[in-house]
Amino acid sequence: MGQLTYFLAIGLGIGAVYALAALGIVTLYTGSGLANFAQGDLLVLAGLVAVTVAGAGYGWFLGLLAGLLATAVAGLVLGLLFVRPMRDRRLDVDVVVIGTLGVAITLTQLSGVWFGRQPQRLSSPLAGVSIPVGDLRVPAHYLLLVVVAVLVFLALRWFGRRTDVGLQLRAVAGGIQAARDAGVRVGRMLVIAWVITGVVGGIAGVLVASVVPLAPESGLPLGVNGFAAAIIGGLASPGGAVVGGLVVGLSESLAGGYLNDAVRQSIAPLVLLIVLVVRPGGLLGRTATARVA
Amino acid sequence: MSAPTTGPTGGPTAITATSVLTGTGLHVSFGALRAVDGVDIEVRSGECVGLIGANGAGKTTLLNLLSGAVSADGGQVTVTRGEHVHRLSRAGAPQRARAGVARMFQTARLVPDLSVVENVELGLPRRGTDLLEAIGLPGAARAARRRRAAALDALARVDLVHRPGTRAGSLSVGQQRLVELARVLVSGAGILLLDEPFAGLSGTARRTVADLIGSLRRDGVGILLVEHDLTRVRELADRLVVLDAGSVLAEGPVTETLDDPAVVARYIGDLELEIDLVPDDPHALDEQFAAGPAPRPEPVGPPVLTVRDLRVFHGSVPVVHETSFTLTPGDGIGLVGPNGAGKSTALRGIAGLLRSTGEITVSGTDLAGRATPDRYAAGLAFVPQVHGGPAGLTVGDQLRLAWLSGGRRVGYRETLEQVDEVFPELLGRRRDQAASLSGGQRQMLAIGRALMASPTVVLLDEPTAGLAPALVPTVADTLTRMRDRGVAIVVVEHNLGLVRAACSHVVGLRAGRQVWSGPIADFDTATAHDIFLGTGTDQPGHDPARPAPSEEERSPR
Amino acid sequence: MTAPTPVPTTAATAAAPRGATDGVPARHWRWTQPAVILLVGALVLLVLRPGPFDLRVFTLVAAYAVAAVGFNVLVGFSGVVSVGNALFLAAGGYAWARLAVPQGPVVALLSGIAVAVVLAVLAGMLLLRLRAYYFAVGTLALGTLGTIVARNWTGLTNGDAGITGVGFLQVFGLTGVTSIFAAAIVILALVCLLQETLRTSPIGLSMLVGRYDPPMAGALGVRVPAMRIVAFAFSAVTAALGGALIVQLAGGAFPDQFTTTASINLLIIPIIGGRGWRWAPLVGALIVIALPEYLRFLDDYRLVVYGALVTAVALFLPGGAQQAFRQSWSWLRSRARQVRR
Repeated sequence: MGQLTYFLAIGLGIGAVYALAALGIVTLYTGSGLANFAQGDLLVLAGLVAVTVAGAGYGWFLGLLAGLLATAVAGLVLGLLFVRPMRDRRLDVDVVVIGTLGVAITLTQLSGVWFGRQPQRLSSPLAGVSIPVGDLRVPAHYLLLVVVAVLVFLALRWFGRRTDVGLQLRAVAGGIQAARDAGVRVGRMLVIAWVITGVVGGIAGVLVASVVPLAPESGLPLGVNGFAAAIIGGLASPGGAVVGGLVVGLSESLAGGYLNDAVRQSIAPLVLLIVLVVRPGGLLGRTATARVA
Repeated sequence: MSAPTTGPTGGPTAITATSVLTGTGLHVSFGALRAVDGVDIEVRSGECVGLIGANGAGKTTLLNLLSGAVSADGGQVTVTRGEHVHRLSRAGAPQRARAGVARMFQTARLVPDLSVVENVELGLPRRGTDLLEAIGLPGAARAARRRRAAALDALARVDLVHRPGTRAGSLSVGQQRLVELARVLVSGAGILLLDEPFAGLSGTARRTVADLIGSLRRDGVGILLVEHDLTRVRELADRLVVLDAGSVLAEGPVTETLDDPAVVARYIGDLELEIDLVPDDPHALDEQFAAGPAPRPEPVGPPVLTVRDLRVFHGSVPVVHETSFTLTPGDGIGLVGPNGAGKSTALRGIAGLLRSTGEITVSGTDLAGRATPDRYAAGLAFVPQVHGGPAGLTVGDQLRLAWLSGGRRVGYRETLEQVDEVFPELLGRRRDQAASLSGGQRQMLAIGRALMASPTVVLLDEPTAGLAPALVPTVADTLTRMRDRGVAIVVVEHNLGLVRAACSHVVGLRAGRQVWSGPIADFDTATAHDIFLGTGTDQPGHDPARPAPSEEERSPR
Repeated sequence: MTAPTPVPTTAATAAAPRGATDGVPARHWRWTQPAVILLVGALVLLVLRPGPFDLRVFTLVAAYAVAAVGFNVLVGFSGVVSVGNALFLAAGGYAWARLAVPQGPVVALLSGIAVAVVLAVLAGMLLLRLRAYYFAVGTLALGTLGTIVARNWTGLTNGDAGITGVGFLQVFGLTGVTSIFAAAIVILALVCLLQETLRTSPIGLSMLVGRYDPPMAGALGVRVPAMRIVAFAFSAVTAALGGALIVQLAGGAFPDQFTTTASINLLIIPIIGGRGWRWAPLVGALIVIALPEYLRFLDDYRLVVYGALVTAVALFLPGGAQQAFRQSWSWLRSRARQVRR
């Protein structure tokens, strides 16, 4: 019993990381219709920047800020890069996939050059603190992960519903043509969506670095799991992304705890494939949006 | 070619020996909209059936139901080919195409990177040996030669045989249309569904297309033709089906049907709009035209909107040519003309949503080449025809969004109060999704959004489209009140009654050209018929103050 | 899908010289490309006589080009984006590693192809009804699963240690890498012939119209989903062939050869070459496989440059190398005309 609770607690924490990764993907997808295959690498970039800054003796908090700054700048650059071709034509799916994959390669390699290829770990501000669960102890950092994921979700909601920029972002999400008709500066909104994606990815990256050692090559699996969470939630629903992240995290933790590591690694792609085949619109989405008409 | 057995107005459900396509009880809804609502239609061998109706009447959707591109909510489709009767009610588009249903869309749809002759070969019927040929089995070369020969034959019939190797994308619009027809020729289809095949074609290409339609009919092909140009319809169709709001309004021989007063009212627009002054007396219409609208003080001040030599492009194709008009505060211009005349395109060009050339000035600010948000900030507001606004936003969101993209010259609260004066019921529903509003409320929201921007000029695209007739006077009233506040309006509208009630001037467009312009008093029934049906010769503008339209022929680049 | 307006956004934008090609396009070009490939291959072996490093790079290029031919058909003709084709590469590779010596090369190749095609048809039937992004993510998951299986199903793949001692392929009396190079060139010529035959056949034309304009394809009687599955299966065939060559060249089959990175490389090759162009697999493989090898002077930054190049091409040169060739060719022509005046 205590063991199950422990796995569930760990799973919720890991799930919160995937939920954060998925929130970034969903923000960009709803805001611009782009699927970002480089989200995992944004996470890694922020994590490694934070590790470096914290390792240089500036502390965890400055590390977090530096990581966020790095991904925000990366988001800005990417936004400016992707907006230009979108201005005069709809981007083909293959162009978006290749374009963001190219970004993923670039970021992975840059991280490798700047921070080395060894996995690195960030010591948590809550290091040493733990919560007793039965006779096992869950590090408090996992609780922090869940809290932050909820906070980020709520902050995104507040931003979308209560601010003018959020209103315009939602207008773009509701349909680019209708937003254009309404006089929204669509290009500017696309850049803003990229920056938000970068910041959300940055938060996730800094936090995950205290749970899983990060190497430049960690970006791809993190991205796949983030995508799995996003698609399980329906790709266009922030709430769904959180649910999807928790589903992936919990199944990973349980599979790793009771079965073996190979199953743990394959659980995210497996769940993703099953959802795609059985309920292609995601658990919270509509099937019609995912199938070809 | 065989004579129909049930007479010229034979019952639509009667399957005769010569009927090639029958649709019975077809209906489909998109959300709450019943786009096609129980239509029976029949096309016989060698017959050309014209399908007309106002914008949004469901013509294209009906073609989609017949071709299988949209699956029907209910109803039957049967295709007869020789001795075979194919029941295709549940079949998808590929299966119907294999049964001999060919479809042409409004714009030519070729693969631009393939050569002309390869595009034509695409029309050849699929065969079981295709897969073997794809891996280069013996006999492939012979089959390829046979296909090429068939394609070249068809190209010869459309007079394009001298350019088989040209990249299809580099052909003119008219030539692409001809290549499409060649593709239909090789397919051996028994039924041809045509959606405005003459759109954007030059005189010679139009003739070629018309000749080909004739020759296909002689081969026994049944044709269903959607066409706005009634002159063409008179020339080509044997029978006419008039759609209105998704159902058949009238059906029968062409001339009789076109003389049906109900059809005239529907197709040209409701000339008799009941706003206070017009009683329920049909003769009052003429009196109303004779008397002209209530006099309104002559507008004063410098122009708020000047449009000169406006050309608007879809991609690189000019759709609107040399349109010019000016508005002073409180002016109202009605842009009228048949479907496809380029009215909405002109509005989108002015709003900066489509590329345009020429001069556009709002309150002295030159807007040529500026982005849409800049134009809105300068005092222009646009009410698009699809007036739901961006999906997923509440009424309050939409109003706020409109205020944001306007000039923000007036505070948000203040503007909201002004809109509240005009549409009190709108503010009560601020927390509701825009999609949950009724049609009339949505139109109010659309106009309310425009008002939130504190505009000097409002462009409205078909404000009564999809509205219950009873709401039309409300819209007219709203527009009049806007003008009374000194806002100038440009309305694209098919309901001429509304134009008469709410506008001070009329600009008539046909085929992208300005064919008439003048004060509302000069806009009489004859002029309306002239603009819409093109029965008489084009008249130059009546008002010497407004530049006369250019009559010079310009071929698309 | 929203409004069925086809937006041709690819190399179509490259300026086509007006009225230049008014003759009937020749059918028999399909033999020219394989002949050129064979000839250049022979020249490389007999005249150029590259050193062992260069020869390995050339062979790897040819192997990836073989695998990418099917991908060119998939992306360029059908417009389907898959990020999981390393799975088929692995099917061909492991079949070769396990069967080439005991059962002979033909059985090994054919069984690799068979496994790959069965996987492709199954995955295609389950996933190809999805929208493009969902399909891409689905194949990404499939490829990830494939890598995990390769690492953990030690009975079949021997896990991370891999299967070594694949034996040696000997063609034309050659030995060593030279013989693998010769085999790769012959196979490349063969699949290029298949590619061109397919392109000019009704199936190939149907794929193209299904990519540009699915509603129109339906109206022409084309079953677009079926065409996509055929293209996916064809991509599995060439990927299996390429996988066998890659394994033979490396002297063993290891999970690292078949990771998502390999899938991404396969996807990038036809795009960077100019999707749908018949030379795209070879030109793309030269850029993707050979260029990083010769960018070694950039040291750590070579893959950074490569990634940035990929993004730049995707966003600003969607027609890839073909578009660049066409544009510089028409620029040269117009310059030449000006000079003559």
